[in-house]
Amino acid sequence: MLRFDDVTGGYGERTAFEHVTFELGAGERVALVGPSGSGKTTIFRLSYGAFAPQAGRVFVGGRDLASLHGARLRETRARIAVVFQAHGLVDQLRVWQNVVAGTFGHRGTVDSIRAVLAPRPAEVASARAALDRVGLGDRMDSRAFELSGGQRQRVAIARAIAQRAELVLADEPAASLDPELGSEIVDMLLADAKTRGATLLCSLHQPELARRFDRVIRVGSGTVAPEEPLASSGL
Amino acid sequence: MADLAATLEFLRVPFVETIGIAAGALPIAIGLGAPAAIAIARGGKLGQTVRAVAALVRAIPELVLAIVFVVALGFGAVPGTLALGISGAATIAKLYAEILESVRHEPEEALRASGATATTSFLVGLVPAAWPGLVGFGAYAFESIVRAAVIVGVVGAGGLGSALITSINLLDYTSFAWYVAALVVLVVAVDSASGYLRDRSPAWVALGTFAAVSAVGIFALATTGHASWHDFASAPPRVVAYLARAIPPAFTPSVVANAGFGVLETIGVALVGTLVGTLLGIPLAFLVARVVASGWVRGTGYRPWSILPAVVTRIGLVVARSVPPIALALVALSFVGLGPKAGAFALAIHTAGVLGKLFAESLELVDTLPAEALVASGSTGLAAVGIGIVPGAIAAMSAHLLYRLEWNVRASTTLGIVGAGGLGQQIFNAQQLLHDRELLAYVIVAVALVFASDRATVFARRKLALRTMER
Repeated sequence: MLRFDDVTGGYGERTAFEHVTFELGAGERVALVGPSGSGKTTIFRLSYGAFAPQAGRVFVGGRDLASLHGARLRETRARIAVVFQAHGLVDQLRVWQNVVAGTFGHRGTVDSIRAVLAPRPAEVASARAALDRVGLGDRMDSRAFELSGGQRQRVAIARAIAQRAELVLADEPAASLDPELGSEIVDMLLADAKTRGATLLCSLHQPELARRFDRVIRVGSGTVAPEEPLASSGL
Repeated sequence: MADLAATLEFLRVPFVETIGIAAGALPIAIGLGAPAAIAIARGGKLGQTVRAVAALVRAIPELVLAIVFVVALGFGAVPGTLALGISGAATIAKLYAEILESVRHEPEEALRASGATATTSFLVGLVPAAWPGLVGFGAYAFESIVRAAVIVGVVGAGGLGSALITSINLLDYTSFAWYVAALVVLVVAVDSASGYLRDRSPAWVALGTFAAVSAVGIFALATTGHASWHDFASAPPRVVAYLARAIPPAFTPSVVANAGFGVLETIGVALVGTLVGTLLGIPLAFLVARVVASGWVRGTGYRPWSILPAVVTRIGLVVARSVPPIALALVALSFVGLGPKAGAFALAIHTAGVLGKLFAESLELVDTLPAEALVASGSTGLAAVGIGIVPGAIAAMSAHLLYRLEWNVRASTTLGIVGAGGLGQQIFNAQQLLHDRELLAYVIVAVALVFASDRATVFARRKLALRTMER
């Protein structure tokens, strides 16, 4: 579902890591572990094509992101959902509107804005179903900024569910939460990926949480260690 | 080169005179405004009275004040200098009082407690803390004085404004275009210089520059033969003599009817100008806002040519807001004719220039992460901006819009002076016919209108701030 082929990446002149190769099969749930500043966020941003790698190629669903533009790039991105440490919700909008925004990849500009401002009953119902899955069905009409950090993270997950994303990229989803809530969010991401058969790449800096994943990829000091099966990773 | 110099020779006198008017107005503004600010900051009966007078003077548009001075003192640079000096003094009184009130007062009180005189305690205990703010706002005041100085001449108060009016009356469009260009250059140069002085240079450099500019300007004013000490010294008794002629103001039925019509037309011009300017400004803001222009939101990444439209638009916005609305109205008169349409056109262009910039800044302040999440999931760039960024900018944009509406009401009271509709038309007619008491009546109506619109927007802003806080 996601493949890095000898990728060197970074922002501008700065290189975060060099010659990284790894692959995530469909339905795999993989933890990305490493200290901050080791290039985890760069890996995520390369995975949805925010910018191009300095060298190497990034494939999503078998397609080289660098070869995609316009509608075909959007088509591939519509399969990806991102959950950020800082949530990435639109504060001023209501919770259900943020969830509906997950479906923008399947819509044009006008239809996107229509869906948020004047949704059809079926669209609201599907947002409600997604929110029910994360236990927030009763907060549909709250503004996003009224929610706590953990609740906001759950809205971001509901957005991925409503999108029917095949690849969920979660960048430090537990980092700004207390340990108990963080663990709850990670479980929720894992449960969702399992139920829907989605692929999950989740960066963490708590090794104990990483044990719950199928596999761990370690990042650090400018390189990415070869993929380790969980048993041998010493976690 | 010599040919160009000869071509530009006719620009020299009005250009120098404009700088002279601004430079001469600055010491008047600071000389009157700083003591007034101290009085306001000290409080008490005197402070309250000074605060009220300053608020009243601030409600008089510069051009209206200039007309009154032209009527009292005759044509030339002196009425312009005085009008801008007094207008600037009212602004400085307010800004400086706010600074003096906002700095910590303990050092001053400690000095007082140990027996220092009030003056020493103030100068040693308070002024140093307020100093950077005082210099910064001084630069800002100078900027606004220059902006006003380039147009104050349209009522006969000297400088580029007078040259503009003369050239348009002679249908000499070549000279007119040159004057507009000179005026844009002057405003842009002073804006950038004062911005630099405010943000990047030590206070003494800023202060030295102002002193030097003032000295050169006053010298220029004296040597171009447009003003002398005697003119300034004899001004106060002549203004008093004029007021004696003009009081009581003549609120006759026909004046009241004309003023009522003028007020409606003024508000209409301001509303249409604001509406059209906003509709033009919004797309331009999206074009120049860095989040949109840089291309990441479209998923194209950085490409050198992708910022080209942004750069071109940015320059267009600078020009649009550097040409004073009065000059824009003069241009508009030549193709839409006399009347409110020209005024609305002028305000629309100027408003688009100002709001384009302010809206773009509002968009740039919004967190881009939500938009990036949408783009990452395949949203179109436009939808990502519309749903991911715009909601976060709405509050700031509404505040800018309100501020602009108020500014436009003030500006549209004076556009009539050049025949572009609104209350200024009646003010100008009364001036031309030497109807002193009617003139004063119209001026009072104009001031009341500006004051009312100021109060109304303060009220609206408070409501808006409350709503924003609730969210």
